[in-house]
Amino acid sequence: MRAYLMIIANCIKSTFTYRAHILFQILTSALMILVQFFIWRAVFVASPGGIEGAVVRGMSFDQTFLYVSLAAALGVLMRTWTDWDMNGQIRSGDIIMFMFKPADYMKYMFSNSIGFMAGNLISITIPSAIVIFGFFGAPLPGVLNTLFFAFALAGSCTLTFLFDFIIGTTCFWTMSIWGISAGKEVIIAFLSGALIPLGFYPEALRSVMVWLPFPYMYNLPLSILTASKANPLVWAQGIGVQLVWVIVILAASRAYYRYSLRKLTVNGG
Amino acid sequence: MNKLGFYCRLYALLFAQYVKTRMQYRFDFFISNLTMIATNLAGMASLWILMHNFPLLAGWKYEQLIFIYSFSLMAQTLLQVCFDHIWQLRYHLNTGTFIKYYFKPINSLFYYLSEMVDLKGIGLFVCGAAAFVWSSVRLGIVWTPMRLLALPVLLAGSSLLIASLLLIAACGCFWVKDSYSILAFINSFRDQSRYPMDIYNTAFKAIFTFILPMGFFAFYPARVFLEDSALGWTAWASPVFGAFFFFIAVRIWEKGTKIWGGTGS
Repeated sequence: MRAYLMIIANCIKSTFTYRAHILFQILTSALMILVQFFIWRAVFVASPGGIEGAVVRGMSFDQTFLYVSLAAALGVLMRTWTDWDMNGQIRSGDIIMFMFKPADYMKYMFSNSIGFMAGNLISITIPSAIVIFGFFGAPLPGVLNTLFFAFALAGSCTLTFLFDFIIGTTCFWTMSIWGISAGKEVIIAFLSGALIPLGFYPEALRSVMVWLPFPYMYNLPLSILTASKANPLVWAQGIGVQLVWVIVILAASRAYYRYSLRKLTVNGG
Repeated sequence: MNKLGFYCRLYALLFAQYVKTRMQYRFDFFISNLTMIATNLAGMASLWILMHNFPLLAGWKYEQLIFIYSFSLMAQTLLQVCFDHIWQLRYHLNTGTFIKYYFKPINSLFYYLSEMVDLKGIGLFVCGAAAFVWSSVRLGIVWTPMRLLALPVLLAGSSLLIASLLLIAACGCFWVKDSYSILAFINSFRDQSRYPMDIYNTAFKAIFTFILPMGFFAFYPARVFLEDSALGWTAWASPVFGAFFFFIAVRIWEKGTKIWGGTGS
Protein backbone atom coordinates (compact mmCIF):
# COMPACT_ATOMS: atom_id res chain seq x y z
CA MET A 1 0.00 0.00 0.00
CA ARG A 2 2.79 2.41 0.92
CA ALA A 3 4.44 1.86 -2.42
CA TYR A 4 1.25 2.83 -4.23
CA LEU A 5 0.85 5.92 -2.04
CA MET A 6 4.35 7.00 -3.06
CA ILE A 7 3.38 6.64 -6.71
CA ILE A 8 0.34 8.85 -6.12
CA ALA A 9 2.44 11.49 -4.35
CA ASN A 10 5.04 11.51 -7.13
CA CYS A 11 2.40 11.91 -9.74
CA ILE A 12 0.89 14.92 -7.96
CA LYS A 13 4.31 16.53 -7.78
CA SER A 14 4.97 16.00 -11.47
CA THR A 15 1.79 17.92 -12.30
CA PHE A 16 3.46 21.02 -10.96
CA THR A 17 6.66 20.69 -12.99
CA TYR A 18 5.48 22.97 -15.74
CA ARG A 19 3.59 25.71 -13.99
CA ALA A 20 2.90 27.66 -17.19
CA HIS A 21 0.98 24.60 -18.40
CA ILE A 22 -1.46 25.01 -15.57
CA LEU A 23 -2.30 28.57 -16.56
CA PHE A 24 -3.13 27.61 -20.13
CA GLN A 25 -5.06 24.53 -19.05
CA ILE A 26 -7.17 26.76 -16.82
CA LEU A 27 -7.67 29.13 -19.77
CA THR A 28 -8.71 26.22 -22.03
CA SER A 29 -11.18 25.05 -19.43
CA ALA A 30 -12.45 28.61 -18.84
CA LEU A 31 -13.02 29.11 -22.57
CA MET A 32 -15.11 25.93 -22.72
CA ILE A 33 -17.17 27.07 -19.72
CA LEU A 34 -17.57 30.54 -21.19
CA VAL A 35 -18.91 29.23 -24.50
CA GLN A 36 -21.31 26.89 -22.68
CA PHE A 37 -22.51 29.81 -20.57
CA PHE A 38 -23.36 31.90 -23.61
CA ILE A 39 -24.98 29.02 -25.53
CA TRP A 40 -27.31 28.13 -22.70
CA ARG A 41 -27.95 31.76 -21.85
CA ALA A 42 -29.02 32.37 -25.46
CA VAL A 43 -31.51 29.50 -25.53
CA PHE A 44 -32.94 30.22 -22.07
CA VAL A 45 -33.35 33.96 -22.76
CA ALA A 46 -35.50 33.07 -25.75
CA SER A 47 -37.66 30.61 -23.77
CA PRO A 48 -40.97 31.60 -22.19
CA GLY A 49 -40.24 32.91 -18.69
CA GLY A 50 -36.78 34.17 -19.70
CA ILE A 51 -33.48 33.40 -18.05
CA GLU A 52 -34.87 33.83 -14.54
CA GLY A 53 -38.11 31.93 -14.85
CA ALA A 54 -37.83 29.40 -17.66
CA VAL A 55 -37.77 25.74 -16.69
CA VAL A 56 -37.07 23.37 -19.57
CA ARG A 57 -37.21 19.59 -19.01
CA GLY A 58 -37.30 20.27 -15.29
CA MET A 59 -34.12 22.35 -15.35
CA SER A 60 -33.62 26.06 -14.82
CA PHE A 61 -30.79 28.03 -16.42
CA ASP A 62 -28.78 27.99 -13.18
CA GLN A 63 -29.05 24.22 -12.86
CA THR A 64 -28.23 23.62 -16.52
CA PHE A 65 -25.22 25.92 -16.50
CA LEU A 66 -23.89 24.38 -13.29
CA TYR A 67 -24.32 20.95 -14.87
CA VAL A 68 -22.60 21.64 -18.19
CA SER A 69 -19.79 23.76 -16.78
CA LEU A 70 -18.96 21.22 -14.09
CA ALA A 71 -19.13 18.50 -16.73
CA ALA A 72 -16.41 20.38 -18.59
CA ALA A 73 -14.37 20.72 -15.39
CA LEU A 74 -14.80 17.02 -14.58
CA GLY A 75 -13.73 16.10 -18.09
CA VAL A 76 -10.42 17.83 -17.43
CA LEU A 77 -10.17 16.31 -13.94
CA MET A 78 -10.57 12.75 -15.17
CA ARG A 79 -8.25 13.08 -18.15
CA THR A 80 -5.13 11.23 -17.05
CA TRP A 81 -3.90 9.85 -20.39
CA THR A 82 -3.59 6.34 -18.91
CA ASP A 83 -4.33 4.81 -22.31
CA TRP A 84 -1.71 6.98 -24.03
CA ASP A 85 0.77 6.14 -21.31
CA MET A 86 0.22 2.42 -21.78
CA ASN A 87 0.50 2.80 -25.54
CA GLY A 88 3.87 4.48 -25.07
CA GLN A 89 5.09 1.75 -22.72
CA ILE A 90 3.93 -1.00 -25.05
CA ARG A 91 5.47 0.53 -28.15
CA SER A 92 8.78 1.33 -26.52
CA GLY A 93 8.87 -1.99 -24.71
CA ASP A 94 9.26 -0.29 -21.33
CA ILE A 95 6.23 -2.20 -20.13
CA ILE A 96 8.55 -5.17 -19.60
CA MET A 97 10.07 -3.33 -16.63
CA PHE A 98 6.76 -3.59 -14.82
CA MET A 99 6.62 -7.32 -15.30
CA PHE A 100 9.70 -7.68 -13.07
CA LYS A 101 8.49 -5.40 -10.30
CA PRO A 102 6.80 -6.78 -7.20
CA ALA A 103 3.76 -4.65 -7.98
CA ASP A 104 0.59 -5.29 -9.88
CA TYR A 105 0.59 -3.40 -13.19
CA MET A 106 -3.06 -2.45 -13.06
CA LYS A 107 -2.78 -1.22 -9.47
CA TYR A 108 0.34 0.69 -10.45
CA MET A 109 -1.47 2.41 -13.31
CA PHE A 110 -4.47 3.10 -11.08
CA SER A 111 -2.25 4.77 -8.48
CA ASN A 112 -0.71 6.79 -11.27
CA SER A 113 -4.14 7.79 -12.45
CA ILE A 114 -5.28 8.81 -8.94
CA GLY A 115 -2.17 10.91 -8.51
CA PHE A 116 -2.75 12.54 -11.84
CA MET A 117 -6.37 13.29 -10.97
CA ALA A 118 -5.36 14.74 -7.60
CA GLY A 119 -2.89 17.00 -9.41
CA ASN A 120 -5.58 18.00 -11.89
CA LEU A 121 -7.99 18.67 -9.03
CA ILE A 122 -5.66 21.13 -7.36
CA SER A 123 -4.29 22.77 -10.48
CA ILE A 124 -7.27 22.95 -12.83
CA THR A 125 -10.57 21.75 -11.37
CA ILE A 126 -10.56 23.95 -8.28
CA PRO A 127 -9.61 27.08 -10.28
CA SER A 128 -12.38 26.14 -12.77
CA ALA A 129 -14.85 25.83 -9.89
CA ILE A 130 -13.79 29.27 -8.69
CA VAL A 131 -14.52 30.59 -12.20
CA ILE A 132 -17.91 28.85 -12.26
CA PHE A 133 -19.09 29.97 -8.82
CA GLY A 134 -17.16 33.23 -8.50
CA PHE A 135 -17.14 34.73 -11.96
CA PHE A 136 -20.36 33.31 -13.39
CA GLY A 137 -22.18 33.34 -10.06
CA ALA A 138 -23.58 29.81 -10.20
CA PRO A 139 -25.50 29.01 -6.98
CA LEU A 140 -23.65 26.83 -4.46
CA PRO A 141 -25.08 23.30 -4.12
CA GLY A 142 -26.43 21.95 -0.80
CA VAL A 143 -24.33 20.01 1.71
CA LEU A 144 -26.16 16.73 1.21
CA ASN A 145 -25.90 17.08 -2.57
CA THR A 146 -22.18 17.70 -2.31
CA LEU A 147 -21.66 14.69 -0.05
CA PHE A 148 -23.42 12.26 -2.38
CA PHE A 149 -21.73 13.94 -5.35
CA ALA A 150 -18.33 13.14 -3.86
CA PHE A 151 -19.21 9.44 -3.59
CA ALA A 152 -20.57 9.30 -7.12
CA LEU A 153 -17.51 11.16 -8.41
CA ALA A 154 -15.18 8.55 -6.91
CA GLY A 155 -17.10 5.94 -8.91
CA SER A 156 -16.88 8.08 -12.06
CA CYS A 157 -13.12 8.42 -11.70
CA THR A 158 -12.78 4.66 -11.31
CA LEU A 159 -14.92 3.99 -14.37
CA THR A 160 -12.89 6.49 -16.39
CA PHE A 161 -9.70 4.72 -15.38
CA LEU A 162 -11.13 1.32 -16.28
CA PHE A 163 -12.14 2.45 -19.76
CA ASP A 164 -8.71 4.02 -20.25
CA PHE A 165 -7.11 0.78 -19.12
CA ILE A 166 -9.19 -1.26 -21.55
CA ILE A 167 -8.16 1.04 -24.40
CA GLY A 168 -4.53 0.89 -23.24
CA THR A 169 -4.73 -2.90 -23.22
CA THR A 170 -6.14 -2.82 -26.74
CA CYS A 171 -2.81 -1.29 -27.80
CA PHE A 172 -1.29 -4.72 -27.25
CA TRP A 173 -3.25 -5.68 -30.34
CA THR A 174 -3.40 -2.54 -32.44
CA MET A 175 -0.10 -0.79 -31.63
CA SER A 176 -1.83 2.50 -32.43
CA ILE A 177 -3.78 4.74 -30.15
CA TRP A 178 -5.34 7.91 -31.59
CA GLY A 179 -8.33 6.30 -33.28
CA ILE A 180 -9.42 3.98 -30.49
CA SER A 181 -8.76 6.49 -27.73
CA ALA A 182 -10.62 9.31 -29.46
CA GLY A 183 -13.37 6.82 -30.28
CA LYS A 184 -13.69 6.01 -26.59
CA GLU A 185 -13.80 9.72 -25.75
CA VAL A 186 -16.63 10.41 -28.17
CA ILE A 187 -18.70 7.44 -27.02
CA ILE A 188 -18.32 8.46 -23.38
CA ALA A 189 -18.97 12.15 -24.05
CA PHE A 190 -22.10 11.52 -26.05
CA LEU A 191 -23.64 8.68 -24.04
CA SER A 192 -22.76 9.91 -20.56
CA GLY A 193 -24.47 13.28 -20.68
CA ALA A 194 -21.15 15.11 -20.50
CA LEU A 195 -22.16 17.60 -23.19
CA ILE A 196 -25.87 18.03 -22.53
CA PRO A 197 -27.83 16.92 -19.42
CA LEU A 198 -29.51 13.58 -19.99
CA GLY A 199 -32.93 15.13 -19.33
CA PHE A 200 -32.71 17.00 -22.65
CA TYR A 201 -32.19 13.82 -24.70
CA PRO A 202 -35.17 12.40 -26.59
CA GLU A 203 -37.05 9.77 -24.59
CA ALA A 204 -36.21 6.90 -26.96
CA LEU A 205 -32.48 7.53 -26.75
CA ARG A 206 -32.58 7.96 -22.99
CA SER A 207 -34.40 4.68 -22.44
CA VAL A 208 -31.50 2.88 -24.14
CA MET A 209 -28.78 4.89 -22.41
CA VAL A 210 -29.88 4.09 -18.87
CA TRP A 211 -28.90 0.46 -19.48
CA LEU A 212 -25.32 1.45 -20.28
CA PRO A 213 -22.57 2.32 -17.80
CA PHE A 214 -21.83 5.72 -19.35
CA PRO A 215 -24.53 7.87 -17.69
CA TYR A 216 -23.04 6.80 -14.34
CA MET A 217 -19.86 8.65 -15.25
CA TYR A 218 -21.22 12.17 -15.74
CA ASN A 219 -24.96 12.31 -15.44
CA LEU A 220 -25.16 10.59 -12.05
CA PRO A 221 -22.77 12.84 -10.09
CA LEU A 222 -23.90 16.00 -11.87
CA SER A 223 -27.62 15.35 -11.53
CA ILE A 224 -27.05 14.71 -7.82
CA LEU A 225 -25.18 17.98 -7.44
CA THR A 226 -27.68 20.09 -9.35
CA ALA A 227 -30.90 18.55 -7.94
CA SER A 228 -33.09 21.18 -6.32
CA LYS A 229 -34.66 18.68 -3.89
CA ALA A 230 -32.61 16.23 -1.82
CA ASN A 231 -33.45 12.66 -2.69
CA PRO A 232 -30.97 10.47 -0.80
CA LEU A 233 -32.76 7.20 -1.53
CA VAL A 234 -32.69 7.66 -5.30
CA TRP A 235 -29.11 8.88 -5.15
CA ALA A 236 -27.96 5.92 -3.07
CA GLN A 237 -29.64 3.63 -5.55
CA GLY A 238 -27.82 5.33 -8.42
CA ILE A 239 -24.49 4.98 -6.65
CA GLY A 240 -25.33 1.31 -6.00
CA VAL A 241 -25.84 0.65 -9.71
CA GLN A 242 -22.64 2.55 -10.42
CA LEU A 243 -20.79 0.26 -8.01
CA VAL A 244 -22.14 -2.79 -9.80
CA TRP A 245 -20.82 -1.36 -13.10
CA VAL A 246 -17.42 -0.73 -11.51
CA ILE A 247 -17.21 -4.36 -10.35
CA VAL A 248 -18.36 -5.80 -13.68
CA ILE A 249 -16.01 -3.64 -15.77
CA LEU A 250 -13.12 -4.18 -13.36
CA ALA A 251 -13.48 -7.95 -13.69
CA ALA A 252 -13.80 -7.71 -17.47
CA SER A 253 -10.79 -5.42 -17.88
CA ARG A 254 -8.57 -7.64 -15.70
CA ALA A 255 -9.52 -10.71 -17.69
CA TYR A 256 -8.93 -8.82 -20.93
CA TYR A 257 -5.54 -7.61 -19.71
CA ARG A 258 -4.44 -11.13 -18.70
CA TYR A 259 -5.53 -12.46 -22.04
CA SER A 260 -3.83 -9.67 -24.01
CA LEU A 261 -0.57 -10.00 -22.13
CA ARG A 262 0.12 -13.19 -24.07
CA LYS A 263 0.12 -11.11 -27.21
CA LEU A 264 2.90 -8.84 -25.92
CA THR A 265 5.97 -8.79 -28.09
CA VAL A 266 8.94 -6.67 -27.19
CA ASN A 267 11.83 -6.35 -29.58
CA GLY A 268 15.02 -7.52 -27.93
CA GLY A 269 17.54 -4.80 -27.22
CA MET B 1 5.96 31.28 -60.18
CA ASN B 2 8.50 28.66 -61.23
CA LYS B 3 9.33 28.16 -57.61
CA LEU B 4 5.69 27.69 -56.69
CA GLY B 5 5.38 24.98 -59.32
CA PHE B 6 8.49 23.30 -57.94
CA TYR B 7 7.13 23.24 -54.41
CA CYS B 8 3.74 21.98 -55.56
CA ARG B 9 5.34 19.09 -57.46
CA LEU B 10 7.59 18.32 -54.52
CA TYR B 11 4.67 18.31 -52.10
CA ALA B 12 2.69 15.97 -54.34
CA LEU B 13 5.65 13.56 -54.46
CA LEU B 14 6.20 13.64 -50.72
CA PHE B 15 2.48 13.32 -50.09
CA ALA B 16 2.31 10.18 -52.20
CA GLN B 17 5.30 8.66 -50.38
CA TYR B 18 3.80 9.45 -47.02
CA VAL B 19 0.48 7.90 -47.94
CA LYS B 20 2.31 4.72 -48.90
CA THR B 21 4.10 4.49 -45.55
CA ARG B 22 0.85 5.08 -43.69
CA MET B 23 -0.87 2.36 -45.66
CA GLN B 24 1.22 -0.11 -43.72
CA TYR B 25 -1.14 0.62 -40.88
CA ARG B 26 -4.45 0.13 -42.59
CA PHE B 27 -6.33 -0.53 -39.39
CA ASP B 28 -5.11 2.74 -37.94
CA PHE B 29 -6.13 4.63 -41.08
CA PHE B 30 -9.57 3.05 -41.03
CA ILE B 31 -10.27 3.50 -37.34
CA SER B 32 -8.89 7.06 -37.23
CA ASN B 33 -11.11 8.22 -40.04
CA LEU B 34 -14.08 6.42 -38.55
CA THR B 35 -13.45 8.13 -35.21
CA MET B 36 -13.03 11.50 -36.89
CA ILE B 37 -16.41 11.12 -38.56
CA ALA B 38 -18.05 9.75 -35.40
CA THR B 39 -16.71 12.64 -33.31
CA ASN B 40 -18.28 15.17 -35.61
CA LEU B 41 -21.52 13.25 -36.00
CA ALA B 42 -21.75 13.25 -32.21
CA GLY B 43 -21.10 17.00 -32.22
CA MET B 44 -23.92 17.53 -34.71
CA ALA B 45 -26.18 15.16 -32.79
CA SER B 46 -25.54 17.21 -29.64
CA LEU B 47 -26.63 20.31 -31.52
CA TRP B 48 -29.71 18.42 -32.65
CA ILE B 49 -30.53 17.48 -29.06
CA LEU B 50 -30.11 21.10 -28.00
CA MET B 51 -32.37 22.33 -30.78
CA HIS B 52 -34.87 19.57 -30.08
CA ASN B 53 -35.57 21.42 -26.80
CA PHE B 54 -35.14 25.00 -27.94
CA PRO B 55 -36.29 26.29 -31.33
CA LEU B 56 -33.53 28.82 -31.94
CA LEU B 57 -29.99 29.58 -30.81
CA ALA B 58 -29.70 33.38 -30.84
CA GLY B 59 -32.03 33.47 -33.83
CA TRP B 60 -30.38 30.62 -35.75
CA LYS B 61 -32.11 27.36 -36.53
CA TYR B 62 -30.66 23.85 -36.59
CA GLU B 63 -29.85 23.63 -40.32
CA GLN B 64 -28.10 26.99 -40.23
CA LEU B 65 -26.02 25.87 -37.26
CA ILE B 66 -25.04 22.72 -39.15
CA PHE B 67 -24.06 24.90 -42.11
CA ILE B 68 -21.73 26.94 -39.89
CA TYR B 69 -20.42 23.74 -38.27
CA SER B 70 -19.68 22.15 -41.64
CA PHE B 71 -17.93 25.30 -42.86
CA SER B 72 -15.67 25.14 -39.81
CA LEU B 73 -14.88 21.45 -40.49
CA MET B 74 -13.89 22.14 -44.09
CA ALA B 75 -11.82 25.14 -43.01
CA GLN B 76 -9.94 22.96 -40.51
CA THR B 77 -8.94 20.42 -43.13
CA LEU B 78 -5.83 22.30 -44.25
CA LEU B 79 -4.56 22.42 -40.67
CA GLN B 80 -5.43 18.79 -40.03
CA VAL B 81 -3.87 17.38 -43.19
CA CYS B 82 -0.86 19.60 -43.87
CA PHE B 83 0.07 21.14 -40.52
CA ASP B 84 -0.02 18.09 -38.27
CA HIS B 85 3.73 18.10 -37.78
CA ILE B 86 3.52 21.27 -35.67
CA TRP B 87 2.48 19.08 -32.73
CA GLN B 88 5.91 17.40 -32.84
CA LEU B 89 7.93 20.61 -33.00
CA ARG B 90 8.66 20.60 -29.27
CA TYR B 91 10.16 17.10 -29.45
CA HIS B 92 12.37 18.01 -32.39
CA LEU B 93 13.60 21.14 -30.65
CA ASN B 94 14.17 19.52 -27.27
CA THR B 95 15.94 16.44 -28.61
CA GLY B 96 17.92 18.29 -31.26
CA THR B 97 16.58 16.43 -34.28
CA PHE B 98 15.35 19.75 -35.61
CA ILE B 99 18.84 20.42 -36.97
CA LYS B 100 18.15 18.43 -40.12
CA TYR B 101 15.65 20.99 -41.39
CA TYR B 102 18.49 23.44 -41.96
CA PHE B 103 20.34 21.17 -44.34
CA LYS B 104 18.24 21.14 -47.49
CA PRO B 105 18.11 23.84 -50.16
CA ILE B 106 14.38 24.27 -49.67
CA ASN B 107 12.31 26.45 -47.40
CA SER B 108 12.58 25.06 -43.88
CA LEU B 109 8.91 25.60 -43.01
CA PHE B 110 7.89 23.77 -46.17
CA TYR B 111 10.36 20.98 -45.47
CA TYR B 112 9.18 20.64 -41.91
CA LEU B 113 5.45 20.61 -42.69
CA SER B 114 5.76 18.36 -45.73
CA GLU B 115 7.26 15.61 -43.62
CA MET B 116 3.95 14.61 -42.11
CA VAL B 117 0.50 14.31 -43.59
CA ASP B 118 -2.48 13.49 -41.42
CA LEU B 119 -4.84 11.27 -43.32
CA LYS B 120 -7.68 11.50 -40.86
CA GLY B 121 -8.16 14.96 -42.33
CA ILE B 122 -9.87 13.09 -45.17
CA GLY B 123 -12.59 11.90 -42.79
CA LEU B 124 -12.85 15.42 -41.43
CA PHE B 125 -13.33 16.91 -44.89
CA VAL B 126 -15.78 14.24 -46.06
CA CYS B 127 -17.87 14.77 -42.94
CA GLY B 128 -17.79 18.55 -43.38
CA ALA B 129 -18.58 18.45 -47.08
CA ALA B 130 -21.49 16.04 -46.60
CA ALA B 131 -23.00 18.19 -43.85
CA PHE B 132 -22.41 21.28 -45.99
CA VAL B 133 -24.32 19.85 -48.93
CA TRP B 134 -27.08 18.49 -46.70
CA SER B 135 -27.65 21.79 -44.88
CA SER B 136 -27.43 23.95 -48.00
CA VAL B 137 -30.04 21.78 -49.72
CA ARG B 138 -32.28 21.86 -46.65
CA LEU B 139 -31.95 25.62 -46.41
CA GLY B 140 -32.52 26.08 -50.14
CA ILE B 141 -29.42 28.22 -50.53
CA VAL B 142 -29.28 29.70 -54.02
CA TRP B 143 -25.81 29.20 -55.48
CA THR B 144 -25.37 32.32 -57.57
CA PRO B 145 -22.12 32.64 -59.57
CA MET B 146 -21.04 35.28 -57.05
CA ARG B 147 -21.46 32.85 -54.15
CA LEU B 148 -19.76 30.00 -55.99
CA LEU B 149 -16.83 32.30 -56.50
CA ALA B 150 -16.83 33.51 -52.90
CA LEU B 151 -16.91 30.02 -51.34
CA PRO B 152 -13.35 28.89 -52.21
CA VAL B 153 -11.93 32.33 -51.40
CA LEU B 154 -13.61 32.49 -48.00
CA LEU B 155 -12.76 28.86 -47.21
CA ALA B 156 -9.14 29.46 -48.13
CA GLY B 157 -9.09 32.55 -45.91
CA SER B 158 -10.44 30.71 -42.89
CA SER B 159 -8.20 27.71 -43.51
CA LEU B 160 -5.13 29.91 -43.65
CA LEU B 161 -6.19 31.80 -40.54
CA ILE B 162 -6.72 28.64 -38.46
CA ALA B 163 -3.49 27.02 -39.65
CA SER B 164 -1.48 30.22 -39.08
CA LEU B 165 -2.73 30.77 -35.53
CA LEU B 166 -1.86 27.18 -34.61
CA LEU B 167 1.54 27.53 -36.24
CA ILE B 168 2.22 30.70 -34.25
CA ALA B 169 1.25 28.89 -31.04
CA ALA B 170 3.51 25.96 -31.93
CA CYS B 171 6.42 28.31 -32.62
CA GLY B 172 6.24 29.32 -28.98
CA CYS B 173 8.58 26.45 -28.17
CA PHE B 174 11.44 28.18 -29.97
CA TRP B 175 11.40 30.54 -26.99
CA VAL B 176 10.02 28.51 -24.09
CA LYS B 177 10.87 24.92 -23.30
CA ASP B 178 7.46 23.43 -23.86
CA SER B 179 4.62 25.38 -25.39
CA TYR B 180 2.31 22.38 -25.68
CA SER B 181 -0.35 23.90 -23.43
CA ILE B 182 -0.43 27.12 -25.47
CA LEU B 183 -0.93 25.06 -28.62
CA ALA B 184 -3.68 23.03 -26.94
CA PHE B 185 -5.37 26.24 -25.81
CA ILE B 186 -5.40 27.75 -29.30
CA ASN B 187 -6.45 24.37 -30.70
CA SER B 188 -9.51 24.33 -28.46
CA PHE B 189 -10.84 27.36 -30.37
CA ARG B 190 -11.48 25.04 -33.30
CA ASP B 191 -14.28 23.32 -31.41
CA GLN B 192 -15.64 26.51 -29.91
CA SER B 193 -15.77 28.39 -33.22
CA ARG B 194 -18.77 26.54 -34.57
CA TYR B 195 -21.40 28.58 -32.74
CA PRO B 196 -22.86 31.90 -33.91
CA MET B 197 -21.05 34.96 -32.60
CA ASP B 198 -24.48 36.41 -31.80
CA ILE B 199 -24.64 34.43 -28.55
CA TYR B 200 -21.85 36.51 -26.96
CA ASN B 201 -22.13 39.86 -25.25
CA THR B 202 -20.39 42.88 -26.75
CA ALA B 203 -17.12 42.42 -24.88
CA PHE B 204 -16.57 38.78 -25.83
CA LYS B 205 -17.80 39.38 -29.35
CA ALA B 206 -15.07 42.00 -29.69
CA ILE B 207 -12.46 39.64 -28.23
CA PHE B 208 -13.43 36.79 -30.56
CA THR B 209 -13.42 39.17 -33.53
CA PHE B 210 -10.21 41.13 -33.00
CA ILE B 211 -7.96 39.47 -30.44
CA LEU B 212 -8.62 35.73 -30.71
CA PRO B 213 -10.42 35.92 -34.05
CA MET B 214 -12.38 32.66 -33.96
CA GLY B 215 -15.38 34.41 -35.48
CA PHE B 216 -13.54 34.22 -38.80
CA PHE B 217 -12.98 30.46 -38.49
CA ALA B 218 -16.52 29.83 -39.67
CA PHE B 219 -19.31 32.09 -38.51
CA TYR B 220 -18.59 35.38 -40.29
CA PRO B 221 -17.74 33.87 -43.69
CA ALA B 222 -20.58 31.31 -43.48
CA ARG B 223 -23.02 34.17 -43.01
CA VAL B 224 -22.37 35.27 -46.59
CA PHE B 225 -24.39 32.24 -47.71
CA LEU B 226 -27.02 32.35 -44.97
CA GLU B 227 -28.17 35.95 -45.19
CA ASP B 228 -29.06 38.31 -48.00
CA SER B 229 -29.04 41.53 -46.03
CA ALA B 230 -26.05 43.84 -45.69
CA LEU B 231 -23.37 41.90 -43.87
CA GLY B 232 -20.74 44.48 -43.04
CA TRP B 233 -17.00 44.10 -43.28
CA THR B 234 -16.65 41.02 -41.05
CA ALA B 235 -18.20 38.74 -43.67
CA TRP B 236 -15.43 39.46 -46.16
CA ALA B 237 -12.48 39.95 -43.84
CA SER B 238 -11.40 36.33 -43.33
CA PRO B 239 -9.09 36.20 -46.41
CA VAL B 240 -7.43 39.40 -45.19
CA PHE B 241 -7.06 38.02 -41.67
CA GLY B 242 -5.83 34.71 -43.09
CA ALA B 243 -3.16 36.33 -45.25
CA PHE B 244 -2.11 38.69 -42.46
CA PHE B 245 -1.70 35.95 -39.84
CA PHE B 246 0.05 33.67 -42.31
CA PHE B 247 2.57 36.41 -42.98
CA ILE B 248 3.09 36.86 -39.23
CA ALA B 249 3.39 33.09 -38.72
CA VAL B 250 6.06 32.78 -41.41
CA ARG B 251 8.03 35.68 -39.93
CA ILE B 252 7.84 34.11 -36.45
CA TRP B 253 8.99 30.77 -37.85
CA GLU B 254 11.95 32.45 -39.58
CA LYS B 255 12.86 34.30 -36.42
CA GLY B 256 12.53 31.10 -34.38
CA THR B 257 14.73 29.05 -36.69
CA LYS B 258 17.35 31.81 -36.54
CA ILE B 259 17.53 31.96 -32.77
CA TRP B 260 17.33 28.22 -32.07
CA GLY B 261 20.74 27.22 -30.84
CA GLY B 262 20.49 23.46 -31.02
CA THR B 263 21.02 21.17 -28.07
CA GLY B 264 24.79 21.12 -28.26
CA SER B 265 25.08 17.43 -28.99
